[in-house]
Amino acid sequence: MSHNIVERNNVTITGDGEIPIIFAHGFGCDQHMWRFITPAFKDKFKIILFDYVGFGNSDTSAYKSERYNTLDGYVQDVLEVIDALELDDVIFVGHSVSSIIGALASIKEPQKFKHLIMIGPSPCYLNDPPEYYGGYDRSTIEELLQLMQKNYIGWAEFFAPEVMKNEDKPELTEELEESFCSTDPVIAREFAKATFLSDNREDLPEVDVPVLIIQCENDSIAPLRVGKYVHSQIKDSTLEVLPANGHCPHMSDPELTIEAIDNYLKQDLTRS
Amino acid sequence: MSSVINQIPCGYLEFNDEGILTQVNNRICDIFNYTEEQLVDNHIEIILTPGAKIFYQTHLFPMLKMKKQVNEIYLTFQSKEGENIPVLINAERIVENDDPINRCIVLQMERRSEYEDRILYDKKKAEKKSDKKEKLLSMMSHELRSPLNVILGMVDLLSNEINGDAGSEERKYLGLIKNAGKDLARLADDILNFAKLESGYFEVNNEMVLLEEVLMNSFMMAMHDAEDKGIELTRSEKTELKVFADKDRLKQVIMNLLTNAIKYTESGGEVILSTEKEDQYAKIHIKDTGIGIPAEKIDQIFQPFNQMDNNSSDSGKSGFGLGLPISKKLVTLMEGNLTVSSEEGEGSIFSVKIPLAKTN
Repeated sequence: MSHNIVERNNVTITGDGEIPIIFAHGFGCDQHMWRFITPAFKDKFKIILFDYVGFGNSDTSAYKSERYNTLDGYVQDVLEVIDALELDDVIFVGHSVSSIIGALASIKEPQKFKHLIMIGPSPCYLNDPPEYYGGYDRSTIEELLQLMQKNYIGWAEFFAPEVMKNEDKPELTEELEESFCSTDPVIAREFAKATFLSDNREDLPEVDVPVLIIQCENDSIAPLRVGKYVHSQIKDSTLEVLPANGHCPHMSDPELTIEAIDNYLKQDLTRS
Repeated sequence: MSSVINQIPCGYLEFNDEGILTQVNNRICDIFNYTEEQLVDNHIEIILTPGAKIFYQTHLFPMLKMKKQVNEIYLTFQSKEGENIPVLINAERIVENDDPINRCIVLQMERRSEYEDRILYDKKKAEKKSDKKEKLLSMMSHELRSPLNVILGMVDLLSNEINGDAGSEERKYLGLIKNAGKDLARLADDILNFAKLESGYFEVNNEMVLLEEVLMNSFMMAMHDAEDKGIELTRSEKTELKVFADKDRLKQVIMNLLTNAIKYTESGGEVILSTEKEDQYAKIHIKDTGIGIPAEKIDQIFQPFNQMDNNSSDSGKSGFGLGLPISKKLVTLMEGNLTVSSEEGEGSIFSVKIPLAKTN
């Protein structure tokens, strides 16, 4: 086990089972977002949680803009965590952008993955009319970046000297850290760009592992039509539409989410 | 909805984990031009702009769910007519009868938002300007330094070529060129160092340093100038102290202080270099019997360019007044302190306080 990677990505391992299941957080948060889901799987699975570099309690000093300014850097994080833990046949559960990160990782090293479970995936958030409607145009993403700027990136820039240098004012750093899951607002901005401006539609048909797509009925970030698109592009995929609102069913409707994952994996466990 | 909540001078709304609005007060209806019936039982996204919808899903809701409370969140809401309305919200999450409810106070902040944008814009503009200024200074210093190095090198070569006694006219002229060149080179270095220190790109590499080595080197280098000017440069006994500092930068500071002391002390005067230990610090004192600093100017001597305001016509004491500000910043970067005490006509004592290395 490589301690460097384990520490870098703040990997935590729980559960009493043997089958490895990795939960990967989405944009704006860290591994804690899974705390309403993981207890349901602790008896049968080996649960692996981690933070992408730059988020949660990962080693932010390992962040390099040139690596993480596209999703490839995050794909590398996933594959390096799997390698460091010497895992095979992983069940990878990704929320939002992590669904696509998981898909890209599985294309690179399919033998490492047994299943992908995508919660609210979107291969492209931008509209590309007339064939594809991801839900947003570029101005919406600009507005999101502006909101991030006004809420915490701006704070960090404004308070940067105090946050960086004033050891007698730790409350400023704490305030930023406690306000948002992301540890570094500038990193969060780059992740937002990598997330919302990338287009991975052409990658979906390359996914060669079985996929469960969990889709909320009403999700403004990854609308139902996008979930259906993902389903149509991945040959071995199952689409499960939850009677729920929002983009984070694992937080708003954990029971429904657990049930969907459980039902899907049960079939597989019974088959094997 | 209680009448109090309907009367408060700010918006109030509640939504469940699905994002469905369960309560809104009159103010919310007024701000967004909806009726209560048009909002309640609808998703909160009805009053959010597209970007705010993403922010709500990726930040606001997860934060409320995880941390139960959020404060000072800036969002853009949207009125029924599609007008963007910047708001500030504070929210908390409570559980009533097993039903989680997210309660929000909503304050319009159109003018404040513009004001904040303006401050940030001006700050960035000022930073850009400052960056440009530092870049220019740094470039200028470099461009000055290169030809000066050639001049100084050539003067040395010429001095070697000239035969004859040390007091010859040619040697005297070459000596003047060399001194003037050295002064210019020092000024260029000061500008370069100052630009780097101001831009924050200056790094010190602190390590365990034998203080005696730094003091002895500086002392030997300053001795020649002191002798030339007829000043007695002395030092206290050898020190065994080890400090945690950047050796080259500490030497630069001591040299600067010794050079200043010699510069501002008249012939026949005295400059004393001494050290002492004080708690976890080494203190280095440079004492002179020079002209001293008037009480009203002592606060300004660590300010950059202070000498430019003095309109000094004495070429021997000219400069940008950057040496002391640079020394002060360097000592601070080494986690020490540079102070001065002085009496006009009596002399000055500059004291450098530097942390001791742990091996002392």
